[in-house]
Amino acid sequence: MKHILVCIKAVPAAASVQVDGQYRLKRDGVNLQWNIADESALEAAFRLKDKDGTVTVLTMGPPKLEAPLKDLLARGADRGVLVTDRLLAGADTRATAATLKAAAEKLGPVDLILCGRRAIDGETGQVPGELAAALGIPCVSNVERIQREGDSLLLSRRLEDGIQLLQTRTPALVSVCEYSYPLRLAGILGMRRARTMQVTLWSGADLGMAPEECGLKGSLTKVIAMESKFPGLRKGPKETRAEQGIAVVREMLREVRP
Amino acid sequence: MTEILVLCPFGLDPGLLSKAVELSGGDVRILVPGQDARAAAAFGAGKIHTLDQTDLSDEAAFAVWLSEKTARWGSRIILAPATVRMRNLMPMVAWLRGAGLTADCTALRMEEDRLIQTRPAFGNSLMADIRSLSEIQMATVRPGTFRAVERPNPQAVIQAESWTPGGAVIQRAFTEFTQGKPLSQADIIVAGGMGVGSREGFRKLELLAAKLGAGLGASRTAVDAGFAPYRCQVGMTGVTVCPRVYLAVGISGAVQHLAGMSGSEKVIAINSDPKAPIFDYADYGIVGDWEEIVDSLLKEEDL
Amino acid sequence: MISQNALHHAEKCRFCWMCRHLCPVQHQTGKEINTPRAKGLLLSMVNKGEQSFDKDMAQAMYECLLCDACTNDCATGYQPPLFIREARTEAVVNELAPEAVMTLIDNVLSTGNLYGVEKPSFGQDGTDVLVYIGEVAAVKVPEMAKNLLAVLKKAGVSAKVLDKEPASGVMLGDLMGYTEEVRQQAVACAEAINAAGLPVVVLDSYDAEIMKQKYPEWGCEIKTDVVTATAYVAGLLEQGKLEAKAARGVKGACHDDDRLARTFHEFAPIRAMAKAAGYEACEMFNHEKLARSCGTAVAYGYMPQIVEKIAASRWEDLERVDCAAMLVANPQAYLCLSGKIPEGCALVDLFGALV
Repeated sequence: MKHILVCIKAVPAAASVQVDGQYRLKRDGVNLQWNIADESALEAAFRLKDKDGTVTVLTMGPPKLEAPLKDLLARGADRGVLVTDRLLAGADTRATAATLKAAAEKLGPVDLILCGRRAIDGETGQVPGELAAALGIPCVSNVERIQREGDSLLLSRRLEDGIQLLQTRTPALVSVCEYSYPLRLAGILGMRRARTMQVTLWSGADLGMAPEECGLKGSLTKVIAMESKFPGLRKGPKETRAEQGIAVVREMLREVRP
Repeated sequence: MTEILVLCPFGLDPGLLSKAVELSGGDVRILVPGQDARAAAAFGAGKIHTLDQTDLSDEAAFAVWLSEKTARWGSRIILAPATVRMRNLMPMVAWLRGAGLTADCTALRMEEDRLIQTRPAFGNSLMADIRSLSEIQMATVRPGTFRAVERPNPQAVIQAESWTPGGAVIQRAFTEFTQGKPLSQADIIVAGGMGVGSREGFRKLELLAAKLGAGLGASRTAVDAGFAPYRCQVGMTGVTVCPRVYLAVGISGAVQHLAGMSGSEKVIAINSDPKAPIFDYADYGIVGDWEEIVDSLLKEEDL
Repeated sequence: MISQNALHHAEKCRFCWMCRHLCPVQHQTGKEINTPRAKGLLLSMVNKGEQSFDKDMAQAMYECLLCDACTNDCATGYQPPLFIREARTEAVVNELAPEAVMTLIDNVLSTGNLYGVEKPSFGQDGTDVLVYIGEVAAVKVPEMAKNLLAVLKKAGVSAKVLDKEPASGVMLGDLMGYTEEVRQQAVACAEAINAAGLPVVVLDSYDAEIMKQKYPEWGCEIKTDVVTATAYVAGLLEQGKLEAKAARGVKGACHDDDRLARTFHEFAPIRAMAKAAGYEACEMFNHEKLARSCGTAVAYGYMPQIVEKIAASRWEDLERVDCAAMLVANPQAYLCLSGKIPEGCALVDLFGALV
């Protein structure tokens, strides 16, 4: 693999997530971390690339992601690209995929695009598929293991009822499961190397995107309401005496057991 | 009323079909494997397209075929079960059709001809109502979310379709999981959260599960902490389950977790924190030390 | 490059000065720069461009035991070891770390231990548990390792020790922060331990900490149970597999080592061991979570004079409560405290006392 592109997303570090008046995720002033499945995608890229190959990490987000991107350069990425623009804020998965497509095309030919299978904040897992369709390349999701086999890849993909072993042509897009490849840390030499490297910053205009194509304006879904109630309220009785509680649980279990 | 198209090329999801029948007032078109055509009619589908193709692995190419077919069929609302494969296919179809797509809905309703899609958002207890701005509205729904209701449709028309794979992706092998029933089919689930505190604690839950012939579940935080393997994870990032009894031990009840188990017939919660949200979603709750309760359940001879 | 998270901790300090009163290094040197709050302030100034990260600053970052006493007492919940560790990485990357530190790093990278020697073999190939000895016990305090193995044997536990026991990564992690080099050691160590497939009894709580806390985070989790040797032996006592010794008529106080005290909050086991070993129990003024560090093997390696003073002040803690025996179950504590034992006092290896 000569050139592998890894799309990676920064997600809020804590569960204390806030939304603004338009139900968009507030990203300012929140501690961000790389999405865990995306970290696996990056580690997989390090293992799959040729000795003289290149791994490019591409992310979309606020300017403060420059330092965390440099950390990925220290871990072994060869190039870091941050697409950052106020116009991109509030993007749904489609507008995100459109932006990533434009950036990927600007980066030139790639042999493989790797993503995490979903991000822990939105948890939609839709961007990989939309990006692959936009680029017109094969797309395999939920992958746990990737091996090279000539020009193709052998992929172990987790389905609900078993593991598929798939063979795909390249270029292709593969989305990997969290924890499948724990990301290496930065080594001393990598950190020394990264000190001399710069992160590439692109705006929407650098990608040739019109304002109506990106961000909230380029989105085809809209959050119209949000409430803190969750369906399935049952509000059953609460017991504080262990013995009584156990007796009831025993009965409830008996009812369903043969 | 608007026709709803349900895409189930890998197998019928009767719950989702039933919901589509309800939302559309009985105007449902569906794509299923040939063997599921009769069942689709029994659960109320009117126009049934069948596809018998053993290798649908080249999903990008299949998505192109689906987007051409769905354009020809003309349905403006397209739903699919949120299985691994459909979650990959639907975004590709959505892109090709220029449609907005909402993932993993837990509720659907119609407001005139617009589909309002509800899904949990942002890790805390928020539910978002989402509307598509595009002409074509698409959503995936977690299997197990809706109850299946039989509504035989005597006018059902069956039409066979065919697709020839392009070969960019091929399936070389498939290894079915053999470790008993999958969690999603268990009758009883004993699930633990951070409150269980350790791997040793989970070992106790495992013993209780074995004693009850139950499956072992876990919350995401417990899996992240290394207390239980990922395959046990119940919730948005794990499996959705609908057992007859769900015993939630030391689980606080994050909305992501609730989304994965709220379809359970009966929910029992054990937690030391009387304010834990899980109690609101339980049919019966015990406020107390989980270990004391699990230990005495383990001791009972005739449980 | 200090991470956002570490900077957040550095900036959180509100200068209440309380950590100044419990930093064991500052106590001995009296230097303001040795306080945790000063280190936080320095890094914060570097971040704001008001100060450059130079050799003196690097030196200051190493004048710390990473004992965590400051974290334990910090009113704002701030964790100085977090940013001090990252500052050490910065020092090594920029070639500013003290020479004595670099020698130790070279030793660990070339031989897998601080001492640059081959770890001795313990020739144990049992089947019940795997005992992880650790380099300090193996090279510097082998008696403690042998005593632990003897205690296990006495209790009928068949113990295995890895022939070429890999480094856990804890020493390198303290010397240069958590870098990929450290993680590689962790991965190799976890692989060797997982290949044995036995529950692990870890003699040095410092090793136990990295195994239990960092390995899962780094994707190299140990699949079996990992327990501290003290907790394991206390369990054997509780199960009646070890006999208690007759009373010795000696007053002894347990030294809670940094990790047992502040990572694991494990206090009862060493006290149960002391009781079973026949000592009349006593407590030093600073004990359990507040236990004052007596030094670490890493710090002893690059700043022996300061560590000797720190150890001496721990001995003073013992004499202050009129005790004669310092009861220790950690090889690093044993190593540091054995430098200068005051007259009339004894340094007791609790495992040895149970044989």
